[in-house]
Amino acid sequence: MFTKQVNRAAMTLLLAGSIFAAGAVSVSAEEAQPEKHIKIYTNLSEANTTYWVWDDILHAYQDEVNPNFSWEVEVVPDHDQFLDKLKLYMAGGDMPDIYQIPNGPLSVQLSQEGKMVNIGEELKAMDMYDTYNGGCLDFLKFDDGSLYLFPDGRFAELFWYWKDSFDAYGLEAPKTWDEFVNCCAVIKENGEDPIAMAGAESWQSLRYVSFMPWVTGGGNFINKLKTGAIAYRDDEVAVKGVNLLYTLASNEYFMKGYENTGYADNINAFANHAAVISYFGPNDLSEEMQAKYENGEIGFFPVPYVDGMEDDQMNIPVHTGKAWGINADSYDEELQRFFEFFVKHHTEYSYARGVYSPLDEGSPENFPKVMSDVLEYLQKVEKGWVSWDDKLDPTTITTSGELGIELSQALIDPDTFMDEMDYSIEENAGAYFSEEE
Amino acid sequence: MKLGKHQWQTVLLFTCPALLIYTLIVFVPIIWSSVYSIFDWNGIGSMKFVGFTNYLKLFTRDREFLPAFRHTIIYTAAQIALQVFVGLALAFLLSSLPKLRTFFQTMYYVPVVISSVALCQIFEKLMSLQPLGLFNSILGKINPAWYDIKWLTDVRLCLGSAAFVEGYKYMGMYMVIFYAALLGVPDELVEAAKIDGASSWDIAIHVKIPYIRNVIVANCVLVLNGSLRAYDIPYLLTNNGPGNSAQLLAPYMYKQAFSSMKYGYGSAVAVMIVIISLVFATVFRRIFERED
Repeated sequence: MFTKQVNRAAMTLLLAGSIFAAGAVSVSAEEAQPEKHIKIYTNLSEANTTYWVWDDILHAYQDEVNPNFSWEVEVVPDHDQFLDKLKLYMAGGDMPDIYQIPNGPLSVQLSQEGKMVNIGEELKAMDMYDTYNGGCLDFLKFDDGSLYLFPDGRFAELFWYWKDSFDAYGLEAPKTWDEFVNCCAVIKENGEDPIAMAGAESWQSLRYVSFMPWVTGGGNFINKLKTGAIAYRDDEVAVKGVNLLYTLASNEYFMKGYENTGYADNINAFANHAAVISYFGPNDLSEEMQAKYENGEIGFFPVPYVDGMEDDQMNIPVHTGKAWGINADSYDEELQRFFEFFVKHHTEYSYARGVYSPLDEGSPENFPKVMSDVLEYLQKVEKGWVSWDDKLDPTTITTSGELGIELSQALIDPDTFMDEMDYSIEENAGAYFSEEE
Repeated sequence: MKLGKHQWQTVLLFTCPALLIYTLIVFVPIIWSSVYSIFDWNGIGSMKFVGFTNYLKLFTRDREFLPAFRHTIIYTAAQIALQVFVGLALAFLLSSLPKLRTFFQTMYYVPVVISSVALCQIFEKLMSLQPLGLFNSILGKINPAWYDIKWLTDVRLCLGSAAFVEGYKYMGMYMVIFYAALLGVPDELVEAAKIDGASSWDIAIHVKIPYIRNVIVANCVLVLNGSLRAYDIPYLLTNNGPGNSAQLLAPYMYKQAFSSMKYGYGSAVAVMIVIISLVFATVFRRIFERED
């Protein structure tokens, strides 16, 4: 009896001791890790898959590497409001530790003032630079080739269309813009709305204006225009781009009510067959639409070529979403360690969430057919999309968005659009870009 | 009446805290904005002194300032009509109700307590075309052409739509103020008018309205100042409208300062808003004080 009691007491002491020891080891491991709290400022909301990719990586880092690592996320989902607040942070000199920022004058100026981490050098130091897709990095590089931004993901934008309508009217997916406009005319004649567009979002209108100069010359036109080196009418293809949007608007090829339609409502309208064609990314396809793709009900086609210039190979806008930058002032050893962890796990967690990775490594498993089909196209892309809504000086960015919306409603004609763009650049770009230099 | 030392101390004791807070949150920012307005600054680099160039540009080369000013005047007139005069009419209707006054008073006051963002979301859906909103669904039944009314994106309608929503939101508040003022009209005056053979309309026009005239003027000044600085509802509903057809002065100031990153120029617009508000309020009061 006594022996049993002694044994029980010894066992209890042993267990208690082991628990205490384990606790001590755990506490000492936790104590060994540096305390780090970071602030993240983002345009992504919970509706964006890459928001969850970030969330997964942050939690994984906390669980696997540093339990003393913590973060807070400030989300501003509206694009314009997001940019306005970012500018407020810049003016206040109080930048978050990690933040999204477009590749344009804002990021160039911050980098020149030494306020951003040189991402290119960091990626080379961790031997990951060449693992990134060339098109993705191209989208993020500044004019001088330097890289201060890193990708949110790999995104493509395509035209989607309802095959039943195309088949019914004897149409084929257009390869040139003339064919595209003809398709719209035929669809309209048959009583359907040709294009679903998010007319409330200025970037959607600007896409139509910028498609033609982009497929023929990448960023050549916008990079010359933004400083006033050329006038709008000096580029024949750019003029065609302006005329294209006006043609689509004045012939009423956009769906009813598009003027006040946001991006999500636009995709819903297309999903409900309210219009035959729409322009958005494959990541935004719902499961129901992915199934419709597999059943052959909807299809996609890349950005059409300019007639007579069909040989150009650049016709799938690939970008990295709104880019990310890191505050140089808060880039200490711990933040550097987190960034390396992020880069080395980005592909794994992107694939786990069913989205493309900006790195050319590994192969996704269990991707829906549509995502795999688009990926085949994307892997050939070496040149990134050049967006206009972040390249110009801040005033002209605002003006171009307003003009784009007016042109998409045929409230102004192409001449007014081009005159106003030239006027805004003449008034604002000179001072802005000379200051930047 | 002359105040003694102790009375002065009491006056200062009660007025100084409020004056101090008012100075900090109103006068200091105005002075600060005035200083910024004579500089050219993009918020990142160094500030460059430009004197009164920003003000000169505002009146000579700015294509948006004067249209924004015109829209603001129209918007303000609409607000005075909706908030003050419709509010007053509702207060009369409310005071003539024999029953359920509290119920209707609460119902009309509900929009005042709903946040502007939520209210704009509601009206955006009601006035929407894609998907078809309630307004057009009902109007379309009367006349099929009305299915397609673009309340928020037609350059001729969007300013009016925003003005309607703002007026709808606040008319309940002014209704409550007027209702309280109407309850203060002495019964003897109304009874005397009735004995003289005045109708309900006569009593309202010749007895009650003159009696609450000061309340009406004070409410007009409040609405005037609020509308000259209006921002949230027109911006949230129309995003300044296509072609800036619904752009008011305050959103224009915000656009210049924070979207275009012209903090100096935006401050010049802000100073102009202060001056315009002061001028309008002073002129308005002077006119009515003189009539008194």
